[in-house]
Amino acid sequence: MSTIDLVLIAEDNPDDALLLRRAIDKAGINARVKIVNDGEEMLLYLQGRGAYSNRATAPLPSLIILDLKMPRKSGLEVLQWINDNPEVAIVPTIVLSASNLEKDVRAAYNLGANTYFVKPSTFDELVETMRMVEKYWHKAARLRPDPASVSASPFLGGA
Amino acid sequence: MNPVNWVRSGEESKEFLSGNPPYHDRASFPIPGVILLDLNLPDVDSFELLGWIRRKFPSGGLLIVVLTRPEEIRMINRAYSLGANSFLTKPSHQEQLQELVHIFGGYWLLSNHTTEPNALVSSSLVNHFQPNPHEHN
Repeated sequence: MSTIDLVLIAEDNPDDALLLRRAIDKAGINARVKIVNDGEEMLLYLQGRGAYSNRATAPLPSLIILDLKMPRKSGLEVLQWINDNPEVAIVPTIVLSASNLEKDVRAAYNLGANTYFVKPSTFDELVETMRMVEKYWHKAARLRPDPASVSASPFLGGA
Repeated sequence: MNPVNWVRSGEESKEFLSGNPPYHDRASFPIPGVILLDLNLPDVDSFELLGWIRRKFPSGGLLIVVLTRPEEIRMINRAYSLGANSFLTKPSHQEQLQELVHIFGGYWLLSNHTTEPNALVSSSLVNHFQPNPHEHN
C-alpha cells in the first residue's frame, strides 16, 4: 500500500475544481488536496518558487492530476517540464481531460503522463473514476519509495 | 475476444511484441495497449527488456506496468525513469495475485484511456495468474 499524502490538481475551471474536490472526498481518498488554477501555477508549485518556495508547507505531491487545456501553460507544457525533471517525474501524473482525441492521448503519454482519463460527464461517474484512482494508486500501485510503508498490505505480501 | 495475452519469458515477450512466430497473426496477438511486465523474468535482464520495449514502442503507443517483489521496492525510481507507467509489487498468495491482476485489468483496460484496449501479461508466474497460459480466444 502506498500512502497518498497530497494530491496536486491543476484545473482552471472553478466549477470543475469544486466537483473534483468533492468527488475525491466521496471516493474516500484520504489525502490533502491542493488545487492550482492553471499550468503556470502548477509549475511554480513543482519548482518551489514564489508562494511555494517552502517545501515544508508546499511539499512534492504523491499524485498529480492535470487538465490538458489550461490558460498560460497547457497541461502538455507542464508534462514536458515534469518529464525533463527526474526528481518530479517519479510522481505519478494523471491526465483528466475532456479530449478523447488520439493525438492528445498519445501526446500526453509521450510526454510522460502515467495515465489518462477522459473527463466523465456526470458527477457519479467522476466519483467512480476517483474510486478507481484510489483503488489502484493507493491499494495496489507503488508510489515513491517509502520503506516504512512496506508493511501490512496484502498486495505487498506482508500480511 | 479475450483482451489479455500471456507470455512466460523475456524472449517470448520480444517475439510477441515483434510479431515473430508463433505470434505473427496480429488478429490473434495484437500489439497491446498495456503490458504487465514482471521484472523477475528468468532469461533476461528485465531492465534491459524494459528499455528495449520503450525504444521499440514510444510511450504513447504502449503503457508499461512493472511487477516485482516487495523487497525490490528500491527499483521503483529506475523503473519509472526507464519509462514505466506504474509499479506493482507481487503479493505472496495466489488469490491476492489474481486480485491484483483483476485490479490491473479494471484500471488499465476499463477506466484508463489507451490507444489499444488489450493487454499482455509477461511473467513466469502465468500459471498463478490464470489456469491456461497462452489462451487468447
